[in-house]
Amino acid sequence: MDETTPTDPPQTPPNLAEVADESPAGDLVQHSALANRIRDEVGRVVVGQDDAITHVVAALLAGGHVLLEGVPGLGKTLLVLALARTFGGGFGRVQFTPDLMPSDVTGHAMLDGASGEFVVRKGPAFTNLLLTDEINRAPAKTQAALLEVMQEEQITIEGESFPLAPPFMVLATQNPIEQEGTYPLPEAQLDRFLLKVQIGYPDETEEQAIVNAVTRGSVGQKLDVSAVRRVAEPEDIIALQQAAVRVGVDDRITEYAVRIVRATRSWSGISVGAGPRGAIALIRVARALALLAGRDFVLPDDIRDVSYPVLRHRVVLAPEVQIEGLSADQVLGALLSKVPAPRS
Amino acid sequence: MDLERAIGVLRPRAPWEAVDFGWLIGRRLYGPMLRAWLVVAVPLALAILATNWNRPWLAVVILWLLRPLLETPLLFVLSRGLFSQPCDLRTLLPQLHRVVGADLAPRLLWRRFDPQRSYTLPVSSLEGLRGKRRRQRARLLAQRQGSQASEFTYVCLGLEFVVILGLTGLVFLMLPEALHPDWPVFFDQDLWYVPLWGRLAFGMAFIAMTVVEPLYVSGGFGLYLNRRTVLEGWDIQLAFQRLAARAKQATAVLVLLFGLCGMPVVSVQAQEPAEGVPSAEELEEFFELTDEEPSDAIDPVDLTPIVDILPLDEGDIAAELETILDDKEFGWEETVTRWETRKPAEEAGTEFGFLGGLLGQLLEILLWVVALAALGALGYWLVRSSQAITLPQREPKRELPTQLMGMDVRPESLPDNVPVAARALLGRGDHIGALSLLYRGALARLIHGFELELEDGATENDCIRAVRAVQGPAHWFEGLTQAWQSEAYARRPLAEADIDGIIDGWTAAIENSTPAVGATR
Repeated sequence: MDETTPTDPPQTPPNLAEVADESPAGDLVQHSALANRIRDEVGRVVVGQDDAITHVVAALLAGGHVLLEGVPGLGKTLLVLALARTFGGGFGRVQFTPDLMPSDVTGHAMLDGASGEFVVRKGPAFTNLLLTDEINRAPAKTQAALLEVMQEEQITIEGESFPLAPPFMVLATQNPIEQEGTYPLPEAQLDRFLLKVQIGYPDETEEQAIVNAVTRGSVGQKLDVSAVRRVAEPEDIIALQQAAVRVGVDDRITEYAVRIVRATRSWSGISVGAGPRGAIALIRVARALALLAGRDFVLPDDIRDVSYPVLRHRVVLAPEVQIEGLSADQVLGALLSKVPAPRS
Repeated sequence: MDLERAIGVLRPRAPWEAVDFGWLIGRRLYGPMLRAWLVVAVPLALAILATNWNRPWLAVVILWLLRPLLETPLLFVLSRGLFSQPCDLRTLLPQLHRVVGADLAPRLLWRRFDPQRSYTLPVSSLEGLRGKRRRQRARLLAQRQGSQASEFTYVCLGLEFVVILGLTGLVFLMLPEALHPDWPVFFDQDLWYVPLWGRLAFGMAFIAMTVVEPLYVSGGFGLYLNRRTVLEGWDIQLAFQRLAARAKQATAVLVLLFGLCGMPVVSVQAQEPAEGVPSAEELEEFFELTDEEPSDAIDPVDLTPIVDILPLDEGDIAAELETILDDKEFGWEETVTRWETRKPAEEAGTEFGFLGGLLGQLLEILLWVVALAALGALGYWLVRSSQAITLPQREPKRELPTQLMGMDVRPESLPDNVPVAARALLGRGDHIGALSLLYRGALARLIHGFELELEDGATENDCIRAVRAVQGPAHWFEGLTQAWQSEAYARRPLAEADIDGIIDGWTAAIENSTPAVGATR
């Protein structure tokens, strides 16, 4: 187990509330610009993962949690570290192992020998961004404890409830290979994650840039996020989340999202489709994407763009499709091409 | 050919024992056989692979088809080695072209698929028979042991697959697991067609051939030897040769032997060759490849020493033979009387016989059609695989959609004059209706004019990308889309003048635009 809290960067940006115009349009521009600054700052150190960064920032704006899937060494931890640094948030990291106990995540009460009283020792979950590495390596009990924290955003230790300071976001990682000795997350628990973001290999140019950035002028391969500037405060993130909520969604867009989710339940390649939480997640993330795009309204394109990360972990593929080696994204792609987009 | 110099005992055997006998000979001659194989097969395989370096699967097929080329050198070694004659490379190489080229075309074409190939191969390669005589001879051979020869071919085929699978397993056993392909994807996305795998398969197929081919040829040769032993009484010939040799040394003993065996000896000598069995003159041609001296060619038993000492002349022998053959043990004739129906059995079955003949002919025609179709398919596949000739791809005729994204996009579903109708809607304050009509009308015209291809799930941005792809009026269409999105999704009404401007652009963008050459799909 390893907890890291980045030191405060030297410069502190002006508070968003102070610089925002009074008009809604000015608000939108400011919020969108700030959200994009956060994304760009993360992109300065995490090279070649633009989609993943966009989706993670969108999940932050939508107030959801993210399941990151990718083979080791693609910058999952770096992404989370950089994101935490952009708004000066706290950062905790837990390496999930088969012997990890729930109290190792949430915290526990211990007897203080001096005072003779029980003292609560808070776990790494008391932070803004919590990175749980290889979540599927811990037993179900520990996973359930974490997922409860994600849902309730508060932790109860010895009968006393401790609310988590917003913004709170869990970024769990899992490795698509090496499935031996793992405890795969049940579908009901996967549903708690707003997005499942897949981190793929960068292309050749981007990989060269990564190698240069890591090897030039540094010893070892320590993750260096010093280039990331602090561009916001935790309060700004909350303001951005509220701004995302205000992004308008037309009824036709909602119908489109519901139509997609309902189609997953009757699609031939999917044995178990997404629940209503799927459509809700589509709208939430699409709002965040619209905010990132500088719009105060959601387009059908936003819905379709987020359909893959929102739905890929909410559907269970039919056995014959799995035997054929098709991925959830391929099945969803076929489904999305057939679900009529809103018109007229 | 001197039967006494054979390195194995020539006697009638059961078919599978004959195969085993062939393998025994093959085992004793394995060294020369392997050398002959490597000298011929390795350059051939390398040449095939080099000329098809980027089409290794085609190389596998070619190697498989040319396999009969590689069988005759092995048979040459076997046929000479059997009679203790030189069969090394110095003997083989000077006459390699004759060995490999004997009756080449039939062996590479229709006889390539004959399951009794290894059994009948010596007929053309060693006996040198061609055409009708070869067929008669092969038919005579196939009357016995034919089914075993076919089964033996299938056994060898199976053995070859086992070797290939074993080698494949070995390769993947040695490879780290990380290098193993993802099998469903491997086959689903035709990754097996990657040249590297093809070259690996070529190598494995060649190794499997190297292992199995000597067994196949020697097994078939064993069957062939067995059949000839039975047909031509080699074992009897050998027995009498031995007797003759002993007769030279002990005349008194031979006189006694004559009393016991003289008759059969003469009968062997006097016997006319059976149909399909070569005469003494023809036998001289046998194994012409294996015998450098004509006198060594098939030499019927030399009975001179025995005949010289016989007390009887040929007339006496014939009379004696008749006396013996009159015995009941050699068959007899008798007359049997019984009742028969008036209508002979042949006539009763004539009608059905005719039907059967017709069916037989139909079946034959059908089989020919299937065989020709299979050959045609094989040829087509080879041509496609070689990529030397690119067959013209037939473009499927594209049917234009009538419904798209839930909208009726048939031209007849639109008003005659879209801009006028849109302007009328705009005049009534129905901005969304006007923009919707323009959007639907533009898509309908682009679909029919520019053959725009869009799926049901295409979003506005997909439509813009598609219009750009066909070099359509993308700029105007983007403006229309943004106006539509602003009205429909943002609930932000545009000024009438802006929508008017979009309607004004209709004529230039839609009516007067024509697809660029090669832009439509």
